[in-house]
Amino acid sequence: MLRKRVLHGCTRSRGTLGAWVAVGAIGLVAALPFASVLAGNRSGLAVARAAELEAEPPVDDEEAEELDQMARQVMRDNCLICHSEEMIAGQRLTRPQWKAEVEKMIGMGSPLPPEQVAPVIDFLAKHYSDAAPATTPARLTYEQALALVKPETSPALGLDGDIPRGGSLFAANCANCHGPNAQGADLGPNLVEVATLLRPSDFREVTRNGRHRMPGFKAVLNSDQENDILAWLRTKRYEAAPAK
Amino acid sequence: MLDFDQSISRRTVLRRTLGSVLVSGGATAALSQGTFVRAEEPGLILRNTRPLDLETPVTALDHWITPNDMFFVRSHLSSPAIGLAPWSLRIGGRADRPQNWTLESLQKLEQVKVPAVLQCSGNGRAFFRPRLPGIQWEKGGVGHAEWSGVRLVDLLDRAGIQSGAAHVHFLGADAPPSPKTPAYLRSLPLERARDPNTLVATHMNGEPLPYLHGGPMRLVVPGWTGNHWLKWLREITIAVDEAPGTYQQAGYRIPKTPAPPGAVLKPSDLVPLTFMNVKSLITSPAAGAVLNRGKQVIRGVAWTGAGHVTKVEYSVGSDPKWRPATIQGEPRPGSWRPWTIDWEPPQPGTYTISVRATDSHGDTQPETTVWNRSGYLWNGIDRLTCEVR
Repeated sequence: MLRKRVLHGCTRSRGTLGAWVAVGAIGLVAALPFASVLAGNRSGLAVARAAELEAEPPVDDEEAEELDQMARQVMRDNCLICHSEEMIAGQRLTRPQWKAEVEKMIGMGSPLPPEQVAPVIDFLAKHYSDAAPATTPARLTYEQALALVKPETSPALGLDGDIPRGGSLFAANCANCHGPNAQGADLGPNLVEVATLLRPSDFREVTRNGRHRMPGFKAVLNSDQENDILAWLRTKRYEAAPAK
Repeated sequence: MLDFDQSISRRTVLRRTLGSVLVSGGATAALSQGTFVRAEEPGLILRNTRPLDLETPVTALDHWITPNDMFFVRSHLSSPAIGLAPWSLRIGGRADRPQNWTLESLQKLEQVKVPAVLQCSGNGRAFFRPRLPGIQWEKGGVGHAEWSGVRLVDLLDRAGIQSGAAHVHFLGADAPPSPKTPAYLRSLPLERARDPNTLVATHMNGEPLPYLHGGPMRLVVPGWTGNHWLKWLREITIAVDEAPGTYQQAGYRIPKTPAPPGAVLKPSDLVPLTFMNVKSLITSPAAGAVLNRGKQVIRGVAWTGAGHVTKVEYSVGSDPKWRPATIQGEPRPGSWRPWTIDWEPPQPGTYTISVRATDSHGDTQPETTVWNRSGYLWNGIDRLTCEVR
């Protein structure tokens, strides 16, 4: 579903820098639990809309357009696990610099598949080159930023979960991507001691509907089972591996 | 458990109300002199949502204290869940008496307050050419607050530093997203860790340390760049060697001698970032302000890493003559000093005012900072261009 939405966004506003910023913002609002806050961040959306309006006419080169779309999808799946679009769009670098950045991120755990490395570097060097015009960053108040990560104050879901059952459910449904100890693996990020554990609505939203390339589990887990998993995750404490 | 910044609203709102009274008072005074102060956009500048990086607009640095809710935010990893269990600060390693401290037990130690500048080592990275990867901080990756809490040395002494120890490692609660991602593990040399101004801070500007600023506790290392000021501090380890891992061993290092883009550098060519360099910023009026003729007051702040600022000077347009600004407050290492310039433009036109600071080591801000491969320590002369009608 998300895939469709983002691809639709790409089709609607074809391959320009401005359009990508716009699509990024739309994708973010659609896909992330930050939606309510960012939706309230009018200046950010205004910037995105302005960028969309100022987007150059569609390019004729269908093949280039298709490559861009694929690169966007790959970046969404592999870069946005940890990063936001603003950070990428805020940088204007040469091709060698982008290459070095991508390689550095692979070293730091990005699951970018080897065959996608070159297309992503091409995309970044094309759209965020050192010659690209500056983008105007959005504004966010401290309170809006805090609202993205602070614990929910509404009655907490997950406090009544069955912890051992949650551990079993995690092992069966989540551990394949997030690792047996929930500290992350190639496909899924760490879930131990993350702010989302105190934001049950976000937790439920991602668990049910998925996020980026994570599939939704609403047909697999019922709400009691979601509670169990959350309760188990809340008991976990991050254990640092010995530094290399 | 944190009360999640509920305190920020009441006290900061009060301070900001007072502040705006002062500002509008100033504006009234300025208006009577025929000055127009341009309204500024609200909020912080969003550089990165995940992890969260927010920059302070430079006009919000126009006071001795930067309000907590306008203070820049820098995160390496995602914000941790605070409140899954009561906060505990562990001290161990080469310690005779490894200990756990809680927010409550820390209160039993002597509480100290230190005014200090916190500046991201990459503040001003956006001004380097050629451009560099990393968060494109412009001017506002900096702020000045009164930090309070306990001296780190008091904790170390109670833990009992064993002989042979020479470094202290620090780890926060912000977990890496992947087992392949290094944790933000850092260390200070023991001498710096024992400095009476190095704190484990639990309060910022009189409020419980806000979550996004590292609450419930963070390291405060006055004079040193922000990469040392670990947030969400949870683990202190007394050790023989520097912390292992990329963030201490490879990151936050700068070439000993200038190295142009593309230069191949050996690890031995690099030294860790420690002290900030001398710097000043123009905080009022805003860039592009339209001023009427008559007496104007230009304001700003100046600071340095080691020692203190001794001189702030300004020059108008291409005038080679540098004239003194008036520095306020007392010199205090690690803190900053507001300054003012009384200026009366002779005629309408577009003016560019340049400001440079000099510190007690005799270092003066350069035109532009020598390029370095990570874009650290930008301290090029700040300029304000405004129009006089």
